Amino acid sequence: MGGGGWSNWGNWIDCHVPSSPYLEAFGQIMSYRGGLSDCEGGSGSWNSAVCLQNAVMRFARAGRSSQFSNVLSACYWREKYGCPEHCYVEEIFDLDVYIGRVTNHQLSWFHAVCAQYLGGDVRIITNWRFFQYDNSNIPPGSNYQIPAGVTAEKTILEILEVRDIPDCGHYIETPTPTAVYEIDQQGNPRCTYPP
Amino acid sequence: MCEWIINRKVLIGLAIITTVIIISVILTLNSVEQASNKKEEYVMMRYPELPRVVNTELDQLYLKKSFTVNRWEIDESQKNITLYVIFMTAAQIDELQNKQVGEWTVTAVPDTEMMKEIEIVRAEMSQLEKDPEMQLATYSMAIGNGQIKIFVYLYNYTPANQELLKNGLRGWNVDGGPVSTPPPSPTVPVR
Repeated sequence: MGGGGWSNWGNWIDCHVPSSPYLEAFGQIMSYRGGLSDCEGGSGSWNSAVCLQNAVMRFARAGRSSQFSNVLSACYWREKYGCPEHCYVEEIFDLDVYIGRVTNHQLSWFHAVCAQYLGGDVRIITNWRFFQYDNSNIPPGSNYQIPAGVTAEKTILEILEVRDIPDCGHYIETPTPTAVYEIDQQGNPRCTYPP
Repeated sequence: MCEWIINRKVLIGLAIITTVIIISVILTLNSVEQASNKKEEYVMMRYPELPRVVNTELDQLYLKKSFTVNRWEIDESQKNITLYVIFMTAAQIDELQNKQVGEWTVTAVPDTEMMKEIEIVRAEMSQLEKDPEMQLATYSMAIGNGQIKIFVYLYNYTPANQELLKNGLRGWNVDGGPVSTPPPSPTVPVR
């Protein structure tokens, strides 16, 4: 921790403390940056964090991310201006976490969430727990983050395995998704892959 | 009469045992079928074109660090398989040098051509992220099977990024659209 500096000390009272694997208390985490390895502190300017970086931060904490710790231990996030910084891997919960990509061109919706595999058949959607921002259990098809489709286009939810993390703001996924769901306009998900 | 009753009891006993065996077999087959639908079984065959024993071996290595077998060469007559890999650690590559896996001799070599291409693509994407005309918030890449697919998250559509979506980058497919932002929410209570 560091980041905010003495001038911001008074504002830290508005900041949250990480406790759960899902970081839901933080909502959308606003910024990230690189720095020293082994969680010894960030440096340089902060970058804006969108959904994908929020998913990477949450994967780093909740998921099996120690294989990427050489990169992730030099990555830091900050809840908002004036809050202390946190290392991406200050705690690792080692859950079976994937990235979920949610797309619907008609809705102009391009979003990234995290997907925790709970065991069992990957084609059954209740065997996945979706989390992102302030929601640690997003119901697919009935929440703005994973919305129902529309008449012209179903929402596509792809569950992707993280293959590599080259830096704090990006990830590389496997060429084939672990599972793909289509969500119709009533909000009902149907697995289309694997068959 | 007595003999007939005994035979009848034996027959009933045999019928019960047979029924129990049949039910057990059905339940076992059912649980095997359910297990085959599980992720563990699915993940075991990451590369269905490669022999099952090789997939199993790769799965063991994968537990240490994930990697991608980008392409491979199979010599059926000599029972040799050469795997061209990316993201594999040196230790993992060392473990797959002329390794006997079932009836196959397996060797892993780094796919240097693909690794160079990945670095070039990343460098070009990094430049595009700095270009205000691109309005590029971030991107992810799917890599494997000799392909790179790029998925971009944009702040807004612009002519420049629509050109990128239409034409791709260095021959690789680019998909994506405007990054989604959460709706305004009430202030989270302070802990």
